[in-house]
Amino acid sequence: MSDGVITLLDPRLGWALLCLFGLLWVFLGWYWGRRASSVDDFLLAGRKVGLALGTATAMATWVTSNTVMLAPVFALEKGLWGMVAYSTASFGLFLFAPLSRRIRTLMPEGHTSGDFMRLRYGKWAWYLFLVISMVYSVAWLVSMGTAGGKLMETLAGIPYFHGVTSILLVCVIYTLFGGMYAVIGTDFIQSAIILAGVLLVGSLVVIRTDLRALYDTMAVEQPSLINALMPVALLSLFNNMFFGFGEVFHNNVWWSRAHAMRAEVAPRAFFLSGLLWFPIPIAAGFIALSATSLGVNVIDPNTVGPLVAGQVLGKVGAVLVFVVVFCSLASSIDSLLAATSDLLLQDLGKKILGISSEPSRFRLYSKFIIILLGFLTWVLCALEMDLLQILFLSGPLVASAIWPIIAGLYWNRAHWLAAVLAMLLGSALGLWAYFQIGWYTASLISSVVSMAVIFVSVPFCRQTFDWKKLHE
Amino acid sequence: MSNLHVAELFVFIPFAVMKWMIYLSLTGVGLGLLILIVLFIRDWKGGRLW
Repeated sequence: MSDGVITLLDPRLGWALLCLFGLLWVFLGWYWGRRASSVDDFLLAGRKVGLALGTATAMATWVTSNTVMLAPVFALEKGLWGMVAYSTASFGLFLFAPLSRRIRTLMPEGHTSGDFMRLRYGKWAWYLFLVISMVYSVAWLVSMGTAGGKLMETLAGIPYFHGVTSILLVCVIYTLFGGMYAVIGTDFIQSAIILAGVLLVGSLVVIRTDLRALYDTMAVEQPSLINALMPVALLSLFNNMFFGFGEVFHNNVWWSRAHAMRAEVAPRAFFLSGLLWFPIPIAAGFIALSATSLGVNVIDPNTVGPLVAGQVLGKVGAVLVFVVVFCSLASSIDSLLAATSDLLLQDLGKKILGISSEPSRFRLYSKFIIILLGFLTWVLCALEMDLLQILFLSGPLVASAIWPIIAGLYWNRAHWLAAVLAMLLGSALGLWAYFQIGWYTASLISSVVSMAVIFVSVPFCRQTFDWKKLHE
Repeated sequence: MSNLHVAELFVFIPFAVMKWMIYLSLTGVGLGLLILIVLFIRDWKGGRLW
């Protein structure tokens, strides 16, 4: 407890859990990191990751603190459709499965998503893509750091800034030790803990809650939550799906995984991870529906999930939620740190600034960028921004990259100018929609505009791209 | 009951749908955990983890 605020866990227990899991991740990061003997090992785990670890790392990376904390917010504000809306983000993983096969075929020695944009469309599309990707990656990192800090404060009374600092410090340290080996290894354990925790919390809430009474309360007090035609919920369903496509298709987190897995494993691993991910937002989100019937005083909607779990399950629920969210945070922050530093190093450092690619120096630069990214995230987290705002503001940017990537991978007549215009116009109109209409339309409008530009341009393009140019 | 309320009855998602949505999602999460463990054992025995 701090400043007279009642918390669900004793702060000492919160700190103990934080230290216990923090030390475990650092130890495992060091242990698996010993395998990394070359730069390729450090950045892409040797390019031979199997199905089990590949599936787990894709799933765990996609289960972010946002999944565990925002899925209940969606349920609380948009009802049953809201829960399904969040689950549609898994479609990004399903559709990335065939893309990953194509990526491995076209670029067997590729490193980053930036490599593809540079070789396929040239420098202007590449520059624009790097800006979009960096804005999104930093926004994602900050949203997770903020969520983690808020959770520590709500559950255990750990001051917000102390919580953020601890989480980021742990993730930076073990990513530094082991690179992609550490990230993928810890992701497996974290994904198992997340699945077990969500299953346990969800099952206990179902056992201890009268679902019929819950439904009846909603029908009387908040009928919009069970309204099959709630416009905002239906729009958010499609918006979230396209946001998910944009997030997965463009971000180096997924491209680096496609390059890290064995070529034949990548499509199966992404498809399976989508299947495993789909039920998680519903299982984690539905507990928020009981907030009204339980009389939970929700001051900050972002913390409704942990609050209800704590109310229904007491200390056990609070501990479980604490552990699940900590694992979700770590599994995504480490992936983003590794993949974004890879993107910055390969694209900005090597290709634009021309830094030395001598192995020992390259690895040193990579570690320096991981520390720099962690520090930047830490500074931005101090602003305590709204989770939804952080996440969805970057939605139209990434959604504008969906069609340039798909067209670039499959159509040899997709032109660089069309890709640039698609990303520029899609982002601009998507951001306009975000501020003028609402966040639940931004990604949808951005992807539709981007699609229209690409489709209209193809018949006018006379040049055909030689796929061999992607073999660098 | 006004016409508006009668209309609302037809747009409500039924209780059974909500209940099974929750049950199936929990089953899915449990199956996911099982699949991960089985895959891990298979890859580990076959030397295909990394």
